[in-house]
Amino acid sequence: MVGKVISAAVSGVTARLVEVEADIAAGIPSFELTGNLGGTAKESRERVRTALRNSKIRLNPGKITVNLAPANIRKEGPHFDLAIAAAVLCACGLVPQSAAEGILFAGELRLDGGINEVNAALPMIIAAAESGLKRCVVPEGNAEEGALIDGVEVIGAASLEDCVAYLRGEKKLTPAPKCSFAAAPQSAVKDFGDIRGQRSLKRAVTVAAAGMHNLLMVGPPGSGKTMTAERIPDILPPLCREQKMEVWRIYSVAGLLGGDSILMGRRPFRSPRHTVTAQTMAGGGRNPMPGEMSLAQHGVLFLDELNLFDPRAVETLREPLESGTVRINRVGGTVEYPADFMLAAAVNPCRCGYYPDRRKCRCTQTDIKRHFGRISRPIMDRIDICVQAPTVSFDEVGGGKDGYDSAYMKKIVGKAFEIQQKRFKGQKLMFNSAMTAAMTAEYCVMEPQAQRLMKKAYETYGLSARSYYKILKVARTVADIEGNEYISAENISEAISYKTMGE
Amino acid sequence: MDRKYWFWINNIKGIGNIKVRRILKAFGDDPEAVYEAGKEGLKMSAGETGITANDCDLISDKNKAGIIFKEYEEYNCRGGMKFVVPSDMNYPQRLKELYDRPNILYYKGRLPREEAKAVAVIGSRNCSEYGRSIASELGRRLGAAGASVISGLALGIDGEAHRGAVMGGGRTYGVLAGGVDICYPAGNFNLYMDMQKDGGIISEFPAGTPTRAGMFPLRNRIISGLSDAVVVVEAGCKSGTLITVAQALEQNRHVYAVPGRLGDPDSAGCNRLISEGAQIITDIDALMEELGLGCGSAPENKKNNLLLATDEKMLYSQLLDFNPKSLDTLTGECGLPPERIFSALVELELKGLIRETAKNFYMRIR
Repeated sequence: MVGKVISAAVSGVTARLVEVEADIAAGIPSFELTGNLGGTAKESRERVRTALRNSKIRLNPGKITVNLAPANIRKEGPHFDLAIAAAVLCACGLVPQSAAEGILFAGELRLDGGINEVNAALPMIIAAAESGLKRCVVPEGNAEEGALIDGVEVIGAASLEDCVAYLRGEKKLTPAPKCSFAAAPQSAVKDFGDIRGQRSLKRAVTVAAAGMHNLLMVGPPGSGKTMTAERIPDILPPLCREQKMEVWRIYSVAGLLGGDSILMGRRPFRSPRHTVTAQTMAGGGRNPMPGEMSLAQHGVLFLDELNLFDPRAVETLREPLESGTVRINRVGGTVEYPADFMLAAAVNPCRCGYYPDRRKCRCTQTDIKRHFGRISRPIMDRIDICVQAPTVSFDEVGGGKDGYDSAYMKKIVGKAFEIQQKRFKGQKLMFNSAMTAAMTAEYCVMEPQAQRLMKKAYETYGLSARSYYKILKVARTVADIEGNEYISAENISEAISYKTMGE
Repeated sequence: MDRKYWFWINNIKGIGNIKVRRILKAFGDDPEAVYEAGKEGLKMSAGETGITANDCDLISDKNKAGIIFKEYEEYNCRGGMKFVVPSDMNYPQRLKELYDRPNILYYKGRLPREEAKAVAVIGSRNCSEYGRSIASELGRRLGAAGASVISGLALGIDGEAHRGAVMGGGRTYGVLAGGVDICYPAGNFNLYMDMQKDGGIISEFPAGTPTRAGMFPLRNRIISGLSDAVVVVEAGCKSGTLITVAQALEQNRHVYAVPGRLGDPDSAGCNRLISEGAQIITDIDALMEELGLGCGSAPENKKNNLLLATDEKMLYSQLLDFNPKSLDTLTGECGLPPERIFSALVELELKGLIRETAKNFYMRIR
C-alpha cells in the first residue's frame, strides 16, 4: 500500500508543495529515499528510522521506498522528516490515510522522537493556505508563525508520538490561536529625542526617511551616527500587511523569526560589521540563505565605517539599490530574494576622525583623499543625501529635549509618504528616491526661481547629470515635506546642501 | 666652451658644491681647464683650492669622467636638458652673490626674469584651510602684479601659491629637490605642467635624481636665493619652512609672515618669526605696495558693493569666518533651523564668497 502526505520545498522565500509517497513491499529490509534530495534531506532516512523506533512504533521488516514528487525540483532541508515518517506510517496502516489527507507536514525529527524547529515554516504554511489545505502540522516552536496566516489551522506538535496520536484521533492538539499583530501597538523604543543637538542631522534624516533616500553621515567618533541610524526604522510609517508578510517570509527562511520586534511588524534594522563578507551581505551559500540586505527589507541597512568594508561586500549593494532584489546564482539554480531597503552609512571625516578641527586632526589632504577614496564611486552615486554629524557642544549635551523627537519626525515622514503614495498610485515605485530620470521631468516641476538657481549651481559646481537628478529627487522630497506642489528655490538649496562632497 | 665640462664637474661623486666652487675659482671658472690640468695640476693648486689628494684622484679619474660625458650625451639625445652655470649671462643674478650658490641649475620652462620682483611664498605642507586660501590669494595677487612667485611645488601652501599665481595669469617657478623631470609630489602633476607654460621648474640636481629628505634644505636655499622677499604663510614650530627662513636671513632677504591665532599649531612658527622680527602682514594691499607692486588687481567686487539678502548678510558678515564652521554651529549661533539657512549658504557659495571645505563645514574665502 502506498501512503501519501504533503510537505513543501523551499526556494528563495517561496515554498512549493511536494508530495511524499511511501511504499512498503515484501523483500530484503531496506529504506530508500528518492526524488532529487539535498544532503540534509537524504539524512532523513536515519533520523526517521531511529525516531520511529524510539517512539515505540515497530515496523514490520520490508522494503520501504519513499519518493518526494515532483522529482524535478531540488529538495533541501531537514523539515521533510515528519512528512516522510507520516507517509511511512500511512503506508503500513498505523495511521489511516484519510486522517493524513489535506495536511501539510513539516518538521525535523530528533532521534528520541521529538520534533525540532525548522526554518522557512512561514512560506510553507502560506503555500499550504494558497493551495487550499486545511491544516498544517509543524514543530511546536514554529506554531506561532502559523498565527500570522488566516484560513489554515496550524498545529504545533512536540513529538512524533503526539503527532501519531493526533492523527489517530486519540489525542487533541489545539491549533495555535490567530492573532493580529497589525493591531499591536508600536511604541518607539529608541527615540530621536534622546539625541541632543544635531539639529541639521535630524533634519537630513527626516528628509532621507521621507523619500527613502540613501544616507551617508560624516562625523567624528561619538557624534551619534549609530544612535541616529538605529532610530530611523521607527520614524518610518508602519508596514502594511503585504510588506509585513514579505519581511516575515525572509526572516522565517533565515530562521530568525522569533518573538521579537520583527514579528510585531516593526521595520528591520540591520547593522553588519565592517568585516562582513560579500556572501553574508548578499545572501548565498551552498543552500542559499537571505543576506543582510534582504534581512533589511523595508527597513534600514546601516553600514558603520563604510570605508572599512570589504569592497566586494559593498559592491554587492549595487544591484539591489537599483532593482530592490538580489539574485544569487548557484549550481542548483537561481534564487531571488527581495532587498528593498534604505541604506544608511557612516564614515569618519578622516582617519583620526576629527577633520576639519585642526587642533585635534593632523591628517593631510592626501590622507583624507585616501580615506574617502576607499568608498567606491558607484556606491557614492547611489547615496542621495550626505550630511555631517558634528560633535555635540556641552550646552547641547546637558540641555533638555528640543521637541525634535521621533513622534514629530514620524508625523513629517508620514505626511510625505501619503503625498508620494498619491503621486505614484498604480505604479511600481513608491518613493521619490526610486524615480527614473524621465519621471523627474513629470513630477519635479520647479518654480522659475528654483530653475535659475539650479542652472547656476549646475554650472558653478560642474555637476554631472546624475547629480542633477539626485538633487532634483531630494528637492522633491523636501517640497513634499514642506507641502509645496512645485519645487521652490529653498527646496533646491537644501537638496544642494545634501550633495556628497566632490560632486 | 663645451658645456659638457660644466656638467662633468658638477656631477663628480664625492665633490660637493663648495669644493667645485673653490676649484673653479682657482681655474678661472673654466671647468675644461680643470679637466686638462689632470692630477698634477690639481695637486699644484691644492694650496688655493684646499682639496685633498683623494679629491684630486676623484676629479682626475678619466674613466669616470668618460661615464659622465656619456650621460651628458644621452641626455642631449633625449631631447636635451637645459641648464645654466654661473658664467652664463642668464644665470640668475640673485644667486650669483650667494656663498653657496649652485654651480649648475637645471630647468624646464623658463628661469625667473631678472627685472621682475621675485617673491617666495612658502609654508607647511599640512596647513589649514585658512592658510590655503591666503596662499592662493597671495599667489594670485603677486602673479597678477607681474612678480615671479617662487615656491617648492610641495603640497599645502607651496602648491596653493603656485596655483594662485597660475590662476592670476602670473609667472611662477617651482624649485625641486630632485630632477626637474620628476614631478614631486606626483599629486601636483597638473600644476607642474601648467607652471611650465609661463614659468618654470628649477633644480640643481640632474634629471632623474630621485628626491630624498636631505635635499630639501639645499633646495630651500635656492627658493630664498631666487627671491627678493620671502612670505611665510603658515608654519608650525618645527616646520621645514623655518629652515628656508633662516637661509633667507643669511642671504639678506626680507622675511614677511602671516600672523595666526594664539595657540594655533599651524601658525606657531609664523607667530614666533614675527616676535623675532619678521615683518607682519596685516594687509595684502600694503604688502604689495611695500614690494613696489602697486595694488595688483584688487578683488573685482569689494564686499560693500555686494548685493546680499538679509540672511546672507548676517551669515556672511557676522557668523562665517576664515576657519571652517559647521552647519550646526551656524544654526546655533543664528537661532534659525538648518532648513532656513541652506539657501543663504548656497547663494553665498555660488557667489564665490564662501566655500564648503568639508561636508557641511563652511568658511569665508573673501
